Amino acid sequence: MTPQEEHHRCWEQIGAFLLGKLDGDERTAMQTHLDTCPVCQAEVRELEPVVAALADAAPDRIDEDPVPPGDLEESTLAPILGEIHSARRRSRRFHWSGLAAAAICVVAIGLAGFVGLLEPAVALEPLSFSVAPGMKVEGHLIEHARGTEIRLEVSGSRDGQTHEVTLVSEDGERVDSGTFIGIGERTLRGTFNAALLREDADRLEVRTPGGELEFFAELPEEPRDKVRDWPLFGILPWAGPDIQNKTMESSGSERPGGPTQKKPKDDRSGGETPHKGSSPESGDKGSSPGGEEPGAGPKESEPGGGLPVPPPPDQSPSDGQYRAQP
Amino acid sequence: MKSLLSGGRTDQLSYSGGIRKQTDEPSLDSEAGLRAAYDALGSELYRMTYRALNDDGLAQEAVQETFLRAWRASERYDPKRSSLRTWMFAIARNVTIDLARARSARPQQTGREVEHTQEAKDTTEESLRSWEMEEALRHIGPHHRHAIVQTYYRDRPCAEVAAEAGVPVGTMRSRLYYGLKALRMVLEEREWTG
Repeated sequence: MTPQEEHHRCWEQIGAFLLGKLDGDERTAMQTHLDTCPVCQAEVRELEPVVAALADAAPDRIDEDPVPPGDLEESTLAPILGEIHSARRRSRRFHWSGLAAAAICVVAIGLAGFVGLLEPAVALEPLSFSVAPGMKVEGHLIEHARGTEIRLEVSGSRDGQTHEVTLVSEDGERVDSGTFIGIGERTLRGTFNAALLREDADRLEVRTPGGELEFFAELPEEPRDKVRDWPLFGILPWAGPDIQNKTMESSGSERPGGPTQKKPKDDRSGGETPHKGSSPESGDKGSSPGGEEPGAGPKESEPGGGLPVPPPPDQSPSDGQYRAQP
Repeated sequence: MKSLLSGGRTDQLSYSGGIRKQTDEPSLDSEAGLRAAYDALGSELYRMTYRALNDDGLAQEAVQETFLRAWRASERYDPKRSSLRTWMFAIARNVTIDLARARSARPQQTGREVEHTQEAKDTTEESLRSWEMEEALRHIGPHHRHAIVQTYYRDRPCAEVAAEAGVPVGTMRSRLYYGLKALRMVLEEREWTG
């Protein structure tokens, strides 16, 4: 028997030997062989743990082959697939909301930059008006290098009546600042501009084209406390100029130190209402017949109008009909 | 002798169950990957959990929980370190032991819970070991399995089993040897740690 065949014969017996299935003589012979044969020793070492592990198995359960119910796959995977899909939806939503947030950020930064461009904030000088009965007027001045900006908030103005806003200089020069049409009890807001520097202005008057004085304000030599305005007031249509609680000291820092520019009277720098063609000429005109014709030129004085004949524009009104507003 | 060798070889010596090739591992983060993983492992996981828990409902719960935990932890799975099968069976073992302990804790009186849950854990681990060996025996050829079951588990003499099967006793002994060799191969394939 060749060594190869010898080993084959041994291998045939090694399994039975390890499982204790050789009788006495065969077992002794195998034992003897193992003592001298490293090949068979290696085989035994390899298989011994397997034989030991056989004891773990319950032979009756080897033939058991429980089959999972057919719907186990769905009941296992459905919750996971549901989570995958909802996570995908969430991430898509997140994506969009992130985009929206980014867009909002861009707009906000743009707006902030826009506001920043408008800095420094303008300072509003509050005015106190003397008004005809039934009227309520608030207003502010803003001084610019180009002239003076006038912001008015008027209620009780005569409906349909053209009003001329005029800034009168210390020298008595009347600088047309624009016109507006009365809208009755509703509150009217308007911005007017006069080509007259604030430091040279003495009086603000609002008259009908007929020369009838509706209301006026004396401007102090030194501007009063100013109210810091948010720059967008007056630019944004819904933003009103009436924030008067936050006052700040007048500093005059915004006052231009340049030469005074006295422009021609008809050099208007704009107004909310286009000029209706009424003459900017100042003068001692009579009262308007009631204001039905906003565009009408100066007319003859007609006593018996709604309001008393105003004093000449270059005179300070002292009529008791005008009351000073607080 | 040569015929014996080749005869041994014709029986199922190679084990092809499970998924082994790492490059083919399904990815658990897609539906296709999850279904592939279930196709490959679902039935075997159920057999394991059923064997350890002896309860169809709990076994199903264990399979569901195993897939859920695996999916949630799939980022931590490294195909270079282990097969998906090994990784998921490790999860399944933990799930099964958790469920067995929870079951044993439920109806027990306070104070004996710890003892019972520990007992449940031991029993479950024992069952899992048994299942591992039984599963390996199911994966070897029927002649090899028959020889081992009849001589080892039924404790019958080789000659008797050989006569019953109508083969020489040498053939029966040879089947025992090749059966053990096949078993070892299967266990190695399954990353059995003894």
